[in-house]
Amino acid sequence: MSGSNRANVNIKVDRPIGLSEIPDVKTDWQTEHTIRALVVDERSLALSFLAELKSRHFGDYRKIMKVAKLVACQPRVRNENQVRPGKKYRETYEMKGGHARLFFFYGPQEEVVCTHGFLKSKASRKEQSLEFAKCDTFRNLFYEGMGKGLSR
Amino acid sequence: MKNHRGQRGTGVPAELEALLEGATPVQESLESLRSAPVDFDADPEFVAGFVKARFLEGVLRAMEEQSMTKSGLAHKLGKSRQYIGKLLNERANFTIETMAEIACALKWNLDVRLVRLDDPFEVGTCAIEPVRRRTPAPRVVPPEFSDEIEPVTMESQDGDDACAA
Repeated sequence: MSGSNRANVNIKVDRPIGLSEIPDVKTDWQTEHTIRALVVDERSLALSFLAELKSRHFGDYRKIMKVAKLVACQPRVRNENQVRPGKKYRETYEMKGGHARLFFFYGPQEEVVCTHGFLKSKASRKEQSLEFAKCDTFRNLFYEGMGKGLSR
Repeated sequence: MKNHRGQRGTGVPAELEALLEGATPVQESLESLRSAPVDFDADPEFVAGFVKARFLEGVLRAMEEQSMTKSGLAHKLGKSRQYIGKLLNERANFTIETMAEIACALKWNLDVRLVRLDDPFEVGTCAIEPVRRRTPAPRVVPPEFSDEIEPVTMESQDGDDACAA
């Protein structure tokens, strides 16, 4: 990867955990929180998910972007039809847009860190609980990385 | 590099390791997302959905602050609880009149404005906010100067061309 390409991702070679912008999320929207995608070793499940969602399920992508805008301009979103906190992992949240779900947590500097997403095919509580658990693992990884100076 | 527990040096658990391996590299994802940029603020469906969602956030905030239940709001509006449920689930189409009724029932202000897209202080164009009762600011004149200060009147500015227009 060239140096110029890396400019958009806030990570360095020796720092495998970082945050990246999400292209369609406008800077103007982000009055309360900045919306970022978690990057681990130059891979991001959130960006990968969003890229696929945009190309294959544009309607759901638009809904997710609407919720992202809401999250970006509100201190906290109360409407659980838009953003739902995890039952077991209370520090993790999901943005809901049609069948799409984008998981995130609030970072220490007003950032919203999107970890990954999935397309909900059926109402499976177990599956959803597992996704919140994944988000929580990424959250721990992020804070651990911060503590060790691996991120930012 | 993986350690003896099948983890990277970063401490990525093995189950997430496989997921990350399968993910597209960041640069590819970014290029894919940027290849067809979308200006959602120019999409009426998106704007309408966002304005509705933001209005409902305000309603939920007002209800929370006033410890008002859905039944309580329904009673104030003279509507059924089911209607309120439908409204809060964004399944109801509501007009500005309905929004005004809700705002008045909650004793909050409804603010519907058209703003420039590049206005850095405006996100969205519809919000519900607590009513702020404004009282005129008292005129404060320090006692030691009170005899020297005279109210400015148009008569005192006679001959001032700047005010002639």
